[in-house]
Amino acid sequence: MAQYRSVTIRVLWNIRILILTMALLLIGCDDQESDGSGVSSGSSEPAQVDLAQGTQIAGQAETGAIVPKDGGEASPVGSNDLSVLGGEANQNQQTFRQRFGLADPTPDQLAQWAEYDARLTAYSDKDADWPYPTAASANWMAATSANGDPLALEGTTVAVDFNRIPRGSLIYIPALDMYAEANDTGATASWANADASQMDYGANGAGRVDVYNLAGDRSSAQVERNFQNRVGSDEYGEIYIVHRGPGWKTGGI
Amino acid sequence: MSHPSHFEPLAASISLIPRDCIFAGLGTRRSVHAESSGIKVAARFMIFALLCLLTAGAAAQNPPMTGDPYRPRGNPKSPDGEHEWAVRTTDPVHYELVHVPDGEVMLTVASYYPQANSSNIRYAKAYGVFWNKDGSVVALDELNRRRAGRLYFIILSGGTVRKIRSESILPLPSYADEGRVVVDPGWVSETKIRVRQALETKSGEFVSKFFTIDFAIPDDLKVQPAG
Repeated sequence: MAQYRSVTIRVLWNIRILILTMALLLIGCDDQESDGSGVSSGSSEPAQVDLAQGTQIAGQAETGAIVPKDGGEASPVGSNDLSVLGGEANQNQQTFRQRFGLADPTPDQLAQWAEYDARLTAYSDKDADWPYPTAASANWMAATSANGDPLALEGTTVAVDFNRIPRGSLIYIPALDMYAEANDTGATASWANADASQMDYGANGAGRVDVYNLAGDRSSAQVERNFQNRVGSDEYGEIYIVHRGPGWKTGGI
Repeated sequence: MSHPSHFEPLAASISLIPRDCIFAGLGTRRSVHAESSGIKVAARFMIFALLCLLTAGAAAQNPPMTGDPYRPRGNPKSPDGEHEWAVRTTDPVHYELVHVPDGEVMLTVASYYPQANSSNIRYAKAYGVFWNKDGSVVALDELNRRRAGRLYFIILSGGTVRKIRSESILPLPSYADEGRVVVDPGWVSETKIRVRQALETKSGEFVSKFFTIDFAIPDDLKVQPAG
């Protein structure tokens, strides 16, 4: 009997090891909120190293480590607060403007730039189907995540339909008073299908402009709510394409 | 009836367990030492098998939740070696199903992002190919990057191929703003594959729903919710 007990204890110990191993394997996976229907969701937090790098980049922005392209023409950040985008969105926007000499647009500039219908939506690093804080192509800072992928930057990165807005274009979003680089993309076929009857996919439509948010402690649903509250009735609004394609980064504005 | 592909390690490990061990506890007389060592072996095999299960499941996730998210998944070559998938990176980026013996291209499938540039090529190469055991059905699962990409099922029969898009089997629910179907984790029998419908709701929440699709009758596919 004593040996049986010993065996039982060993089996129980092995089961404990198994549970521990499973727990270790599951570390890093963080279930997102569901719709209450009892279905599960899969997601993962961004790697700590990526978060650290994001913080470092934001820190560089704060200290002005990036040399302005033309300091004399640098403008302060616009009147609208981008803190809804999380992280260092305001600082990133300010540094972006300084780097490329972007000021709040004048009526003359707005008249010159190409205006398009667009729909403003939000995405974040809490997306269960892409738990990596990366963009599809190089960003204006040339900042990359730990694995070398281009990094999405809150306050300047937007995902667009590259069939509507060329990759790397510089755009201006009046509802947010925000300049942004179109260097990411998403489920564009779904967007085009879902918004087929909406203005953003109409004749003068630029498609969706999916604005990157750094979620921080917020859930994806909170990010969505915050963003919707921020843009309000401007969700279906206008954007300006300041420069088509990435040429503006090398003095093409 | 075959075992589910990702359960095969478990089946194999059970078959390796000494027969005496399987019947341990059923009243057969044997020494306590033999029983205890048998239970130990069985426990070790079970742990190994469960770890294999977990590993196989993680490897099949789309997008991969660990490691390089752009690594290819599955196996481009059919079980009998007759067919193979290839990524063609010339504009437009596309996939080809090739009949290996004569090099004939049996099917061409456009990549979700067809323009040939470095981002799209890397995206296209991060695909998954999942053949059923007899090579009669194959799932071509593009990378799931924020619900971009598509899942296709290709049925091979008598030298012909038929392509089915997953959306035609599992349409987007009305409460979802975005969605797509991905293989998760793969074939669970010769004819059934388990998939996940990854959804973003209109309120910004993420929901996953699991289903099995049965290809036993190709003209009458059966879809069942899966746990």
